[in-house]
Amino acid sequence: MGQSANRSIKVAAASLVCVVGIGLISFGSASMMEPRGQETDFIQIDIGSESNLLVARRAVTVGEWLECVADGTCQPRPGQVVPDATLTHVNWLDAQSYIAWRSAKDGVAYRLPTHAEWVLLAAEHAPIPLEKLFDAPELAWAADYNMNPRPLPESKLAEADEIENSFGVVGLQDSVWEWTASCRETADGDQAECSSVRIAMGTHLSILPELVSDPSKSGCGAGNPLPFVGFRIVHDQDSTLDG
Amino acid sequence: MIKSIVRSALAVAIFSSGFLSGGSIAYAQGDAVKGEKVFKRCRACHQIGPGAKNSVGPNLTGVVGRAMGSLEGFAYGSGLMRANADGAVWDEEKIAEWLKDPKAYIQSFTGDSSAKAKMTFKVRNEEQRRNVAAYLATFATADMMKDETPDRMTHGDAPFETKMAARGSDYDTSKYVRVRQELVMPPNAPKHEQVASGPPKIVEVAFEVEEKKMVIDGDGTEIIALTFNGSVPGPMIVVHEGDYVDLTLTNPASNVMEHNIDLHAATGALGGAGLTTVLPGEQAQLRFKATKPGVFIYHCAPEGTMTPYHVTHGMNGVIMVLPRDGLKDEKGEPISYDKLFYVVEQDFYVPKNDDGTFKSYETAGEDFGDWVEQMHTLTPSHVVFNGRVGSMTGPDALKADVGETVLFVHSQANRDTRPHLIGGHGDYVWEEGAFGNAPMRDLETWFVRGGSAGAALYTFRQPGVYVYLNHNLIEAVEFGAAAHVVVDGEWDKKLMEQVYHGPIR
Repeated sequence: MGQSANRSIKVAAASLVCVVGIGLISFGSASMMEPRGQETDFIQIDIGSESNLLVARRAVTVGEWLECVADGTCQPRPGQVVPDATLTHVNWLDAQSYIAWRSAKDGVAYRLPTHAEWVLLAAEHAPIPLEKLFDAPELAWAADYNMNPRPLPESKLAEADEIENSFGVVGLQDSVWEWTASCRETADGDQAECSSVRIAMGTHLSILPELVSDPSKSGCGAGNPLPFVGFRIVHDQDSTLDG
Repeated sequence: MIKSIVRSALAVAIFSSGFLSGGSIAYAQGDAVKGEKVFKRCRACHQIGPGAKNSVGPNLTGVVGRAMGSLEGFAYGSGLMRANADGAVWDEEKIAEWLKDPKAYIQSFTGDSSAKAKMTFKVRNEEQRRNVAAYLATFATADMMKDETPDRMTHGDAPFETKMAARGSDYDTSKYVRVRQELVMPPNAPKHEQVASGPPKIVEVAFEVEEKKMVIDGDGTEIIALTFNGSVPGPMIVVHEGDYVDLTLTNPASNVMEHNIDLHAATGALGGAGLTTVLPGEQAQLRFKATKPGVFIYHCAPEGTMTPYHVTHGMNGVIMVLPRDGLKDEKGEPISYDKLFYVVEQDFYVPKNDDGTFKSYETAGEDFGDWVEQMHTLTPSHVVFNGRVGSMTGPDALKADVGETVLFVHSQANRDTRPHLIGGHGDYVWEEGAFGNAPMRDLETWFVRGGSAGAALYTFRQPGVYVYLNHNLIEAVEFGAAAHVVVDGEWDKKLMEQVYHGPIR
């Protein structure tokens, strides 16, 4: 990690340009055997926009992250050693570094999905906003405290990482919440207003500070702590980078 | 009170009777009451009713009878935009068909096989589709005009988009006199009366959060401190029991982090933290009644790990709530002070490089991962008074005169501490900080629990230099938790005299 929220976006954009050449000597056997960008399975999904969205079938794995670590861009994350496992313990800025590195390597403009895109690709199992606990406007600060059991208990969440939805996307209902590009439900990807918090999506919507990589340590506040956070990459159709 | 279902069954029954909704004769009317249950799943993307807004999907208030693709501010897919251009209007039957498969429906409806639909959700059960359409028909466009219920992002998954900013104060406070407290830098306390003159007031306090570089020791170790008003600790607030504190917390847009304030003197809403969470560029105003006399800490309390992170970066301080008739001794007789020394003990957890030197950082939050790791050791790198080693020593030493009575106010937001005045005592000590309790007399060392403030009153009897410290001497001497008091006046031989000093006689 390293930069402030505001600066890191610019830094990420800059490194997108200068790492392109280095990408050719990438580590990891998969990328050397196969054409660039083929090691991740992308699913083409029509979510009503002009061009289709290509969504990684799985969230970024530890193996994919370690490739970025080996390349010197990403930092090792605690406990992230099993290559096939879904990557966790990454903050929003870590996700941006990976995306910049991976985009340069593959020549594709990857990004995080917006909150709206995530909800649309989660289609039939998108999290339903909680009923408010209190209705008095004075108690709005406490109204979202969740006294209900989770739709899936934490032990079941882990098992849910192989559930494939109707688009063929897996892992949207598991214990690993996914960072989105959005900071507000209604202003998708509106960088200017995001400040230092982002929406992470899983079986409920969560608003997390960008710097948090271990969201389970929720403190005295209201709200609904989530077990883990990772991320999934998407790109727009025809989003190949030039040069 | 805890909320129940908002819309009454009666209203639903009247509006879903079919006469008002204009459904075609062949179309079988749905059951709006059952539809409300189905609609719960739609709430993942759609809002409806008073105060509803566009979300992932458009606001559905008044959708039945509305032109397709017509809601301002929502970016519809090409299919609904085409239908809008064709002048199509939603009715229950069309909605029920759309819900079966939005993309297929809009392509067939517009005759355009490339038409796009944003909605990916499908309702496969026909009865459920009709029921939802009937439920939607119970919301008239006029509902959109009604007052919204303000939602405010606080913690966790609270909705974000509706701000309480426009909400004014409901409670009439016009009978109270408003005064603005001029805040001063520690170790000073703002100008205040010890015995309140007149009835309770509203005391206005303005806090602005400043994320700034600060040097915390003599070696030049720097941290990006998080501060209330640019100092560690934040300024002391002084009011009387029964006064209102009207606190404005400003988080300038130039900051990076989210902040708030939890005051242990306040009642409810997590000490105010629930109502004051502000992102950069936001401001919150909180008014609370100071109901308990004593010295209390305040601190920033965002979510999870951010709470100790912010507090160990300097975001804490003290609010003193004096009894209206001032302090009293254990017999109930009034006592007062000539000076107040405001001391906040601060633990820092500065990460180190491999060579043992302290790391430095450029922007707020950059040290987050390393700092948290160091916090987990529960071993501070620094334990200091008022933000840095030596903040009240040498040229910055505290000053008093023989015969002067000083109130030492001392807090620690995290760790226990044990203030001691070397060469003096605590004449009257409110160890727990609660002025409603009788003070303890003549203590050598007193105990201030982590997460609280205490107060000790002492009248200096001899001139010279006193050390006021945390009498864990390792923390005081090695880590920095010490201050000096230079006292002027005439030496009192009756109290102490060096009788002899020299070679052994």
